[in-house]
Amino acid sequence: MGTAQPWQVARCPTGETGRDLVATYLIRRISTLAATLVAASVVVFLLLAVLPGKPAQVILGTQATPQSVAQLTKQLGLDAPLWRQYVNWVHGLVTGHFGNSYISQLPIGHQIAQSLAVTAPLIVLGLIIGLAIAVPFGVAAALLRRRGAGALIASTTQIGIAVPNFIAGLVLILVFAVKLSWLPASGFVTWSSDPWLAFKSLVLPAVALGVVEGAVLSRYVRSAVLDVLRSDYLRTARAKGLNRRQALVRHGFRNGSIPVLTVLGLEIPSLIVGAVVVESVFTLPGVGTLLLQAVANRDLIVVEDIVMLIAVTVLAVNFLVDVSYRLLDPRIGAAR
Amino acid sequence: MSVQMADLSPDPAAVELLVPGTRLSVWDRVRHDWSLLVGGTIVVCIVLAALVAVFWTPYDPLAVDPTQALAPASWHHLFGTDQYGRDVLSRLMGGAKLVLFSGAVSVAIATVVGVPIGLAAAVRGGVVDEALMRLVDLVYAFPALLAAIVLAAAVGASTLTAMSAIGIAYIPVFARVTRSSALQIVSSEYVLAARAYRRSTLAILVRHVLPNIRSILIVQMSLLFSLAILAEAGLSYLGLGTPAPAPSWGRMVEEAQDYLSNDPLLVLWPGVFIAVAVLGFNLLGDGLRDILDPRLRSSR
Amino acid sequence: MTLLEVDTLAVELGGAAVVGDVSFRLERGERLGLIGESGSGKSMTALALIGLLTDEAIVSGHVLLDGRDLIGMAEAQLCELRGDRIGMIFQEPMTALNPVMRVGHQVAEVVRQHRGGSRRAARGRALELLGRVEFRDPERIARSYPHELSGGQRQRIILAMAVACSPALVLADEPTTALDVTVQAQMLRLLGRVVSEEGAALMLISHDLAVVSSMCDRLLVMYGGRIVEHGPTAAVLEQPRHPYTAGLLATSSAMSDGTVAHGQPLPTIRGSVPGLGRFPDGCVFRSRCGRATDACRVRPPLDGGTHAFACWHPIETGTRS
Repeated sequence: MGTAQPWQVARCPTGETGRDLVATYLIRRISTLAATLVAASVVVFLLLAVLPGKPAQVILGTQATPQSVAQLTKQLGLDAPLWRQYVNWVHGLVTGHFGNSYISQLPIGHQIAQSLAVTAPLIVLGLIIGLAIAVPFGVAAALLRRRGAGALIASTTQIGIAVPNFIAGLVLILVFAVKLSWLPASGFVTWSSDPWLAFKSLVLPAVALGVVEGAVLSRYVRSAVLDVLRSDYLRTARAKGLNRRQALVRHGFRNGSIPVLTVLGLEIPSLIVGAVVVESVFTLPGVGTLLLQAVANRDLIVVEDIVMLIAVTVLAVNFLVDVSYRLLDPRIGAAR
Repeated sequence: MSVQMADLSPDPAAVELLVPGTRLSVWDRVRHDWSLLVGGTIVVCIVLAALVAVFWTPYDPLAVDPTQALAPASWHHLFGTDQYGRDVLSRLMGGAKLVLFSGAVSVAIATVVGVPIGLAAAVRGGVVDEALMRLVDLVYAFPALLAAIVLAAAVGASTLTAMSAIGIAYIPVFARVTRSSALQIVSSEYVLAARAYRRSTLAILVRHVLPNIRSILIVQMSLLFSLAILAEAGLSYLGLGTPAPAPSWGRMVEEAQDYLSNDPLLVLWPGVFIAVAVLGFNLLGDGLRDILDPRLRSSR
Repeated sequence: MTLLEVDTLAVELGGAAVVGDVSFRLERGERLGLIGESGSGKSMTALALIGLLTDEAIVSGHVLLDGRDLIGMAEAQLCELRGDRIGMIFQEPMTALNPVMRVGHQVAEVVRQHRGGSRRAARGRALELLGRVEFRDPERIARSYPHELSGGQRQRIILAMAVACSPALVLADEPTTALDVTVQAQMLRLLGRVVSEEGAALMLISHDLAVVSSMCDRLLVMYGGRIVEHGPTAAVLEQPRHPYTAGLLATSSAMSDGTVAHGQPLPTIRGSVPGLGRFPDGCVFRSRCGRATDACRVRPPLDGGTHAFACWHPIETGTRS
């Protein structure tokens, strides 16, 4: 018997196109997404609402009089019942009015946008580097598994997984910034002022992110390639006269990329979290730094907004991955 | 810090069967035992270091001595001293204690809460199952580290806080793993027989289900341990984990970062230790998995 | 010239000999059945013939196709032969096709691989082939994915792929085993017809005596990786010389020809097939044979002319078991 893939689910009955099944699935999936989003927002809101200490107090400092605290509290709308605060907040999120930071009084939306200009490219670059490492390594590890080279790759991968990304970042700084002075060690200029320098500032952080991610992904790539190599359809392809390379590329690629794509989606949260840490190592003014500062300053509304943003991103990515992999694999479309 | 999702499947190389009846090649055998051996050794060393550190370290890890600041390795200080003159080796050993504590807390929380949830979902089925799995999905939406950051913001930074957050974030993984394994067992013949004898559900769980999922859980626990170590290191590096002056390896890296150009070893030693510890638990987990579930994947 | 001449073909895997000393000839248009239980090495033999065993298997001997030895041939040249001169049908139709590729494309691929030409031409040929294997709506089938088709349909598609380039030899490894009983007969009939139309030789591998007896001119009986009996179908089935063949016949025909009365136990061959590499030395069958003696510690040679057998104590002609 061929290998049983964990993602193989019920097959479509003979003859049905599966299109109506996909539509039903989509509807179900979107409603789950919406429900989860709502639940997530409630959780975030409640968690930070029950924190000790009044934001107004924090803003005004310990010297403030109770009256001014009360007044500011009212002004900020924090004396309203919880459910109304929640509704206001969600309404604000949805309409794009993120409110103002308690500390800096600056509009949060603007701050977040600015920091995204750093973090988003960083994550994308990190992902690209990760894939650029994972695919060759994973394929090589699978093809060479019986030889010494395969073991060497496996060991390297193990080490890559074990090294924390901030250590990787620091080592990169040591080598490339301190000793060789090729790339900047920290800081960031805006894209508009010096795009090339801005890009250079992202290289080392992206590599730090990408190397670790690449090590993790390469194991999945290897596993996917092995599944293809052991499959019956690959043997059929060889029996048709395709040589090893042709069979692997023409028949294996699409089959193998399905599980890898799934894992990719699952790794996005790790990338986001990794970016938070890496931004700290390289002092980049990204979303992570913004979050950490807000945490340190107890600027709760910023924390809420950013956490919600991240949660939404994670859920959205999961949703996209789910949907696209069901589109890629013609077998899926029926019940789970 | 990557979230290794419940990677239940063993290394496919573990079960390369060409034709039913052939044994694993010698090469594969060596690889697995090697994995377990090296991983086990590393873990044992860490445990030993931690145990010793409970009673004795060459110097007090917290003792400051400005006259000895940034000293290189010597017979007095095998790994040198940091910028406050604290002995690095003593701090590394102290860190070992913390590593084990962190891992233990996370794994304990994830297991103690996650496993019963998974069992309940598997056994009850129906609405309870759906509800539990939705809840579990919800927790999935928040990356572990993010939860830890938020919790640190809420109640202040400490090892316990950080590790609780990690543990909670991994409840879904354990619940899922438990649920799917339990589902397989619950529908198996001998459980149905036990049911026919009107064994209470709890008895069935304890006597039939738990022993069978033990091996899968042990593997997941080992892998979670390594993830917890990474998470603790990261959080401490960010200042949201173990607070100073306690000797957390992650914190040591952060404190040494300013001296990167002058004294890179100060950064590298704790970094290497973190990597080795994580590697050790990963190898241990992989090795255990290959031994405990040798034929999960059949091939031609 | 003989189409296929196999000489002392042997396969060694992990130190164990899984196929040993297999020799036979196959003429153009001839139909040869290879029969044995699972674990007898028959599939390994087929895979060894076309060089599709894994790298760990050590293959020795000679396999001459039109005089050219396939053993030791360069991979590139083997690739040219596979699908073109030799068509192959495997056992598991459910997994033998690429699940994410449309079936028409998979059939057209064989054509393009060996005959070149445009996509359109290959597609046309694919539709033609699908018609030949009795699909009434080749267009619709060509557009389908494998999971939308039944096992029988998939096997027919694999047959279409196997004969796409008019091969001289078709290797069919248990082509009907995974199919429903009702579909099996149809499949065999179709296989026979298509092979005749091409004038191709057929090597049909099966554990099912009924299948090979209806389709094949000659039979090879394999056990323990070795040929134990070899001869014209009628002769082997009516006058088996090797105890294993006799045992197979007894077990398979007992139900249908009424030699066993109602309520009586079915005949079996005592013992079970040993795992690979664990066959006894000397005569491979002696651990299960009722006629074994000390003499059987020495491997009996395969001889006897057109109806050959490898046994020191063969069943006498004229008796049944």
